[in-house]
Amino acid sequence: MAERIIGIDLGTSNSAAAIIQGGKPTIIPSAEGQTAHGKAFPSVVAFPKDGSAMLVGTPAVNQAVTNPENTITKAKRKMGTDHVYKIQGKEYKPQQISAFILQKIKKDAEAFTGDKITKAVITVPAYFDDNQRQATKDAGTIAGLEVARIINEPTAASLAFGLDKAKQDMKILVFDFGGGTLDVTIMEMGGGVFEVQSTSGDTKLGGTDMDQLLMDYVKEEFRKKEGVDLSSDKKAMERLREACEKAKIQLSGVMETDINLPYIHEKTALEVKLTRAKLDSIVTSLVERCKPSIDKALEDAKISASEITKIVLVGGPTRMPIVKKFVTDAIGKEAESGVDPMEAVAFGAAVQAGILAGDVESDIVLLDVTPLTLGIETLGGVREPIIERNTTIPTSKDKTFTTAADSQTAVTINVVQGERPMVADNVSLGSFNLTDIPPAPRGVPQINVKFDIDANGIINVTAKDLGTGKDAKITIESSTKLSDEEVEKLKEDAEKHAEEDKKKKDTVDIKNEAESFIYTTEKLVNQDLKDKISQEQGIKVTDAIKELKEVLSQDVDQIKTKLDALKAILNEITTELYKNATPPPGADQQKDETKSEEKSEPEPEPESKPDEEQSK
Amino acid sequence: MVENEENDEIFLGKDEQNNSKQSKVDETPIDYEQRIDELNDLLEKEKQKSLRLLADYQNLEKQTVDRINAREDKIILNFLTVYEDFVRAKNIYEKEGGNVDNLNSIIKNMESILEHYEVKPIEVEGRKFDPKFHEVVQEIEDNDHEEGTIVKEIAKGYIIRNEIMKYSKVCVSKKIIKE
Repeated sequence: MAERIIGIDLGTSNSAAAIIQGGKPTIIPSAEGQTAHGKAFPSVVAFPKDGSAMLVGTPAVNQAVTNPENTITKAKRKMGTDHVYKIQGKEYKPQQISAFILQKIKKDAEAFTGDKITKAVITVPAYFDDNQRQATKDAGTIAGLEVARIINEPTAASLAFGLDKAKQDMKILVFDFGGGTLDVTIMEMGGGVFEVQSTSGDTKLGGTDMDQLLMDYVKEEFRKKEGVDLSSDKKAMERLREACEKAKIQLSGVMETDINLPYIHEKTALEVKLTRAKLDSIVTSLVERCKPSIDKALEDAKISASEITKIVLVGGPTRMPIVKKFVTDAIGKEAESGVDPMEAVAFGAAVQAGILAGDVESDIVLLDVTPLTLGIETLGGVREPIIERNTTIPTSKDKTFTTAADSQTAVTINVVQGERPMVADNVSLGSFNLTDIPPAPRGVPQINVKFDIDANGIINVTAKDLGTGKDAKITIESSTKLSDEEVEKLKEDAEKHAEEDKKKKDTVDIKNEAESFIYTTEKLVNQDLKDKISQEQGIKVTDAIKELKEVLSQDVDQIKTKLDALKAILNEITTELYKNATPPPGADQQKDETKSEEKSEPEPEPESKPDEEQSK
Repeated sequence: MVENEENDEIFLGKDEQNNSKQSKVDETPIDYEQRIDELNDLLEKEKQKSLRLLADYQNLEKQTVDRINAREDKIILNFLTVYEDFVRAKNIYEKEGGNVDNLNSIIKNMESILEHYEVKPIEVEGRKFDPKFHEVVQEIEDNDHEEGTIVKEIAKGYIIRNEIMKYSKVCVSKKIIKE
């Protein structure tokens, strides 16, 4: 029997999993049964003080008060970073903590299906970079799950609502309002490709805040009426919390409900009538706080609200009519319906898993895209892009570079990710050396650098010396810290510093060009054309080279002026040379030299275009 | 491929009027083998499909029971809040020296309903805290009990059909550290 693949929503606060059964996604229930989180369970791992077995999910939450130092929450926020959790003398990486959560899911799934489960599709936020995606994949591997695909959470949610089946191109707004965070994503869907246009959000805004506001209101009403403050009575507060949560859920379906708690304080009962309008007025300020995130997402995607074709709601609080209405009003369209917003991401992951396993028939092959541009560092700290942002993956692209100095026997390939033209302003994902390049003049060796991104967005970079066939490679390890905020900041910086960056890049480019031209001209004058140019011409060139060298550390204009002067002199010489010359080899040589002028370390060969072909 | 082309040519040479490839396929023994392989593949696929469907059906049967139980659990959970209110009322009137006989018999009736549905309260008194049954809401400094002993119950927890239905919320003891 073909192996089944499960879909996993590995969340910051809660996680859930689903599998295709009878052609439809079904949530895999947590072994502890239904909790306040529905069928999902808290993404919490704990190591009990008494050294007993590690706890995952609700039991881990249950003991958190007594053992906070050994209880880990929100490990997802540390994925792809160097963070280490030191627990009872042992060290754990974030991916190990996530792996414990995945192991529990694997166990629950096996109990639910009666089959052995070894493969999974895992979702990640759209803004996750490659380090974070790799860390997620590693977590799967540690948990004994082969990660068949890593997909973006908003993409999964769209799949759950069947948006991939629409035969039209569309712009989708995914409004993911969870217990503790808000994520807004705008995606473009066309030809089976979901392309993330923008992401924004608020990491300190969620449904839990609403519950607290409602509780405060009811508590205050009781104090006003009976003169008793319940705050210090733990038993009373616990009953109040439960009743408020129930009332909030009920008010999504009815217009009014009663909170009745007999004997809440001695013989006094708490009786509060709660209408939907009242609840709305209590939470409205919180809901309004979602507006800037929607506006920013639209602004970043450079589209107006009216251009959005579909709205997808994710997360428990979006069940509330006020939240639905708020999004509808903000965009001017009704949101998609028919799927429980709390289960949408896990459902979507299961749909993708079903397509991969052949359980779900689909005409489309879902493709994902690279979240940020990938490239390598070239001479002068300039980033040379190899795979542009939003390229559909899996993909493979290459470019050929050369050396910057004579007899250079090694090159360092520094793999960078980000939207800025200078390496220093982006994030380095890792670097490696290609050694044993046979000594040769600068510009002669040909080093082909190939980027392979698999379907999970994991990058393999290979550098190959085309002369010797020797190669070196790197698989990007999770070594760099790049938080959600940092990714956002990188994107913002790219826009903010566009002008400044261009200047920096221009300076480096012109300096590289000048150095390369000096090298070529010196070689030409001192070796190749030594006997063919006059002494006067020789002096003119040498002087011009000297002048250019003197201004290399100056600004762009000065370098440009002196470079143009040198070019003019050289043009004069070569024009005269060709007038007098007859043999074609001279012409060939000129062509070759021009080619090497354009090379720097490592810089793309003009003739060698990157292979645009994408693997399937 | 080359071979096929040659066969085509030979075949066409024999009977130029009949250019149907189908007749060639029918007559060539090697194509029978291919067809058998294809049919075997198809059979295997269908076999896998029906096995999968059978498994899905069995799971559905199990899940239907679970779903009915889940619905029942929800009703029982609501019933439990009313039951607890009756217990609270009884305790207060009992403390005041009132007659609680009738309240007691109502509570007993309710408890027999709970028993029927295999609902049992989670024991907490004097027990050691266990995260599989209890949720700690507070630690209380206390040298009279071993650390981690439940010293107060904030909200009752319940087990149904030997599974957790609601965790009990508790306060546990914590040793006082003297400087």
